[in-house]
Amino acid sequence: MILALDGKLHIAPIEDMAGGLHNVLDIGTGTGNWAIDFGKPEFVPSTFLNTCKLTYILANAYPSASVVGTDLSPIQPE
Amino acid sequence: MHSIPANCRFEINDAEDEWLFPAPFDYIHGRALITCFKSHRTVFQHAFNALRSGGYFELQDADLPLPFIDDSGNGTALELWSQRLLAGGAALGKDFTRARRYKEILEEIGFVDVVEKRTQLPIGTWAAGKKMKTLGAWMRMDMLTGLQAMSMAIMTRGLGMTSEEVEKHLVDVRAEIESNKLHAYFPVYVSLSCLIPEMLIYWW
Repeated sequence: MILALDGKLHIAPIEDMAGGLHNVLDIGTGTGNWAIDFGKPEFVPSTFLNTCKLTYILANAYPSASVVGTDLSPIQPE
Repeated sequence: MHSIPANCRFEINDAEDEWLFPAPFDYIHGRALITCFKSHRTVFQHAFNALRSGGYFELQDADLPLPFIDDSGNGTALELWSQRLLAGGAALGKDFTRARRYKEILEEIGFVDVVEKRTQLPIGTWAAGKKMKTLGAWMRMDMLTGLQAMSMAIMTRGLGMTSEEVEKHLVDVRAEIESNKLHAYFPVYVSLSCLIPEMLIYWW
């Protein structure tokens, strides 16, 4: 999905939203990959890192935002 | 294993239940939720209620049935697989065709400026262009790896098939996917919507 969106985690214009970006929620986070990538200052999609050695840098990742991921299954890393 | 950034945490919650988060969110994201809920409208309504004014809600999803760009899918196991998943999902109270209606549902709830971006994830490297071939190679691997996990519960519980019948069916589906001869793709819908800014509500 990230590849389909040309390396982006999102299309929402949250970089410059009024009032800033502070609280972020990922519903149905599954493995937690999206939420983990989102919180990193330098974004590298976990799925691709070891398998094809592609490195995608999302210049506008948001280390200052608080990111919550929710799911029914506790399959996220600790 | 990943290391979790300090600004990230996880909670076990059912998004169809009442949301009890203390503060409103600036941005809510959901990817690949098509199979997750009996009522997507309920979850989207919860998101609407939990966003601050001017906040964004973004959904990235694909749905079924699998379209084929030509007649290469006629009478194939892959076509039957797609039909069986849909029917099995329906029998379990889930609608796997719903991503194409996300925009409509979001607008009905009251989101404004709903934007829908459509794209395709080809299964296999049959589609033209470097990007589509890369996507297709990944999707083919995804399908071959995840086929049983996607199919078993839905086909046994929803359609009453035995696990042996499902496995036998999946052998045929895998062979077709590996052949690269079927021109199938997942339709992808990225829906983006905004909560109406407070000031606009005051004006009305």
